[in-house]
Amino acid sequence: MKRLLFFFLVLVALNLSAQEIVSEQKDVDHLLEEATRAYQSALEISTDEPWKADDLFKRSIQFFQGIVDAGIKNGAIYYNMGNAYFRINDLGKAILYYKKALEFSPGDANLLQNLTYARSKRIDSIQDKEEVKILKTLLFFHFDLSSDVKTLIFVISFVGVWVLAALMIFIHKKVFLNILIGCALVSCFFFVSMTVDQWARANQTQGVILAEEVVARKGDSASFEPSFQEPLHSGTEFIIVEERQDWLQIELNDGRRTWLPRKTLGLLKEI
Amino acid sequence: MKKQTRGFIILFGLCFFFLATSLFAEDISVQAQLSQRNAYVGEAIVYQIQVTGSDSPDQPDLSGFTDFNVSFMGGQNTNQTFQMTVNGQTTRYENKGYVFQYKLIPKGAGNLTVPSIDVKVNGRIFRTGASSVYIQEPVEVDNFKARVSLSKSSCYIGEQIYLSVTLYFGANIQSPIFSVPLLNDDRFHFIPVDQSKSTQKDDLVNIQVNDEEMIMKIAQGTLNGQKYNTLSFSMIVIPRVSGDLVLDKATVSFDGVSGYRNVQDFFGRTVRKEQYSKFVVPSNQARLTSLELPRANRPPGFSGLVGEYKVAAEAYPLEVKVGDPITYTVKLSGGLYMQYDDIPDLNELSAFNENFKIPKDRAPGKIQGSEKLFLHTIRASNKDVKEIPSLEIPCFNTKTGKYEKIVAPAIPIEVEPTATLTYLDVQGEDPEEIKKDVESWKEGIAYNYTGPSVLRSQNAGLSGLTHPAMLLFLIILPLAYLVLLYMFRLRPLIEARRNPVKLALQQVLKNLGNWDESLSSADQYNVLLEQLKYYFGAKFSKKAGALTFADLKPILQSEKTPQELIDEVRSIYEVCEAARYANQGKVGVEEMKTRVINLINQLERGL
Repeated sequence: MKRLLFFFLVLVALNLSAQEIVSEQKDVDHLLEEATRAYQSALEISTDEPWKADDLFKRSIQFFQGIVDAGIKNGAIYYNMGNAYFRINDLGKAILYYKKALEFSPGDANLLQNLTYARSKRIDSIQDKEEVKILKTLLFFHFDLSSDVKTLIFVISFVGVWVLAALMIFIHKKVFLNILIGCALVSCFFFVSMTVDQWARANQTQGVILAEEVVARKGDSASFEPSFQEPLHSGTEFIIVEERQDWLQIELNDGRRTWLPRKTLGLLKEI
Repeated sequence: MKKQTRGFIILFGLCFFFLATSLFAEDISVQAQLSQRNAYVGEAIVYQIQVTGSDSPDQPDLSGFTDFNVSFMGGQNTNQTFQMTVNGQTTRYENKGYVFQYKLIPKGAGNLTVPSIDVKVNGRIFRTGASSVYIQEPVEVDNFKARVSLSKSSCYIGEQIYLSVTLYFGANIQSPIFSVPLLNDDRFHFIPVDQSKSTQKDDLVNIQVNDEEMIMKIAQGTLNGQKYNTLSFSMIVIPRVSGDLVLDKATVSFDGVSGYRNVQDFFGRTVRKEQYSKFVVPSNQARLTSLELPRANRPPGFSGLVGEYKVAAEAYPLEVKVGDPITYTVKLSGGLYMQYDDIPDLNELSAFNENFKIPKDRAPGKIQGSEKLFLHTIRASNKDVKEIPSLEIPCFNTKTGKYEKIVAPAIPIEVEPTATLTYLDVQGEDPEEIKKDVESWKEGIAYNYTGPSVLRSQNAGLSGLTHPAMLLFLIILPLAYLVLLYMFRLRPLIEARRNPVKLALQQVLKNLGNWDESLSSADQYNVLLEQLKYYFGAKFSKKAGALTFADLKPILQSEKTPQELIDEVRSIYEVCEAARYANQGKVGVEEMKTRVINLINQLERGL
């Protein structure tokens, strides 16, 4: 009887949790279906009825957001949201969501192409610092390769080091030693590169300007003088240096620092 | 009662208990609060729904709040954890909670009721209490006035006109907030106007409009003959529906100077200090007559352009050979916002497609100043082409109220026949079919992703490397190396240090096993003797090279070695030493080797 009782209770618990999972899966399936339908419909009417198309694109964004709110973190969802924001000419949010997608799918060719294209549409042209340009050329393997590729190279070279070291216990050949040193150097480079990436991800908050345009100030209040001759525009990327209530100090790609109202910005960690 | 029946009753009881505990496990309550009980029409009131006992309530439906414009400001959990230590025993408590925040903007004046609403928490419905709020109609005052104006009082659906919202202020103001419910009106499409290009940067400020910040212009203006400072922003408005449309009033709330009072400064002088009070001023109510585009005389291929548009075109180069590229640029102007404006596809115009080769895909137009440029690369398909034909675009002229065609005039060109003979010409192939490199089109974005893989959660960053299986794999490799190193390198060394005799014995046996057959007979005997000496040297801690039988004999006797083994040692010594000089032994090398190995084994067993 006890066995029967125990079996019954386990069955009830399993059934309840399974039902919950199936129901959640159905919900997100439905959201994806609706989001895709809205996006496709918007594309079809975008030439003839652009305003209606905008509404549909916004609708698809809401559905995609619903999927994210349901706890699903997937680069493709953020990428799709970036596309929808791009279609409604919200360049800031498009770039913000593409960058978010990049965290999950760093090597995605479509994502990189769309991000590059969206960046080309920005009004502000902010060049990298000279030192950064030189570093990017010298350490191309750190800046140009995706996390996946770095991981793969690190793992292969790491395995190479230990397999060759093990072989050298039995066979003494200079060529093995040379390859082993090469593998060790490569694995060290990539380990350092990945550690730096991870540190940056954990300690540097990246963001994008969302407002159409915003006057950057020299301090954390609207009463400060503007930092630049021109206002900054949507899509401009930055990293956060300091946070003070409603204002954030940011650093642009060229190393210049300024203050912007928090409301005008989108931060990767907040989406 | 039968045993089986009793069992089922217990089972039923347990099921009931299980369900009851799951339902009433948490103490849940829901409360609603308003930020203020008195407000003006158009002034935002924060409405907060506080859920305690759960951090995952469903978002409530506020569609019943008909007296207010409702906008959701977000929600966040208010979970709290704390520890309590009593008699050394620490207990951890967790209070779960969630807060929804809404902004309510009253639509009219009077005593308005904020109705009670249902909030679903963990499958159960909770009802908030209703409350009332007293709303006053904002009143215009002499020093502060707000105005909403349109650039036209009558326009057509799809026509772009300007909307301006301006606050006129005759005294200093602080913290202005604009509430413009009109911007959420679905009857219109709104497009922000970039004011920075036409205004000095110092005259621009960020001001909150509804929930967003907007850049506004500070200037001076006149209203009813009186001079004011002004704070304003503009938008392009495109009506989506027809009819006499009444635009919602805007309101502006701010702290404004209401008077002055005399105070004494640090030096005892009397100075005048501004006194600020809260003001909420309403705007006028603007009206717009939106007209349907006439159905009569609507030309085929009507482009949807509504306004006073103009079109021009230019081409370069004008002297070409058949097939050479000509850059044909169409310049459309006259629209306030031309993001969506488009021109007909040249491929579909017979005047173009009969005499020109036109790519099937073309780049979207590019806005440059007040114009939108459409670039085409066209190629004359025969030498008889004399001009790029005029381009006619049907549009609706809002000034005349008629459908008209705007025309980019024809551009004369000179086309010479192709003179260059290519390999393909010689082969007799059609020049139209000349293959070219396929270049990537850099404009536009790629497609969306769909399918089940989109709904699979991913990990960001170095998740692949930090996966437990990968970490295990990466740790196992160095461990495996260390194990091999110990087994095949370190352990033999350690053992050799502990037992040099054993090491010597292993070395000797190994050397005798790897016998070098190419050595001369004398050398082989020599090696045999050297190995034996090496063994004895290690065993009795003597110098191996100078160890003669005479040296060994007393040592072997002191170790109580059997006489026959001592004799065997002597015999091997004699045979090997003799063979070294005679270049040939009495006994064969192989036999001697066997005798040496046997001798060593017997000595190891005996000693």
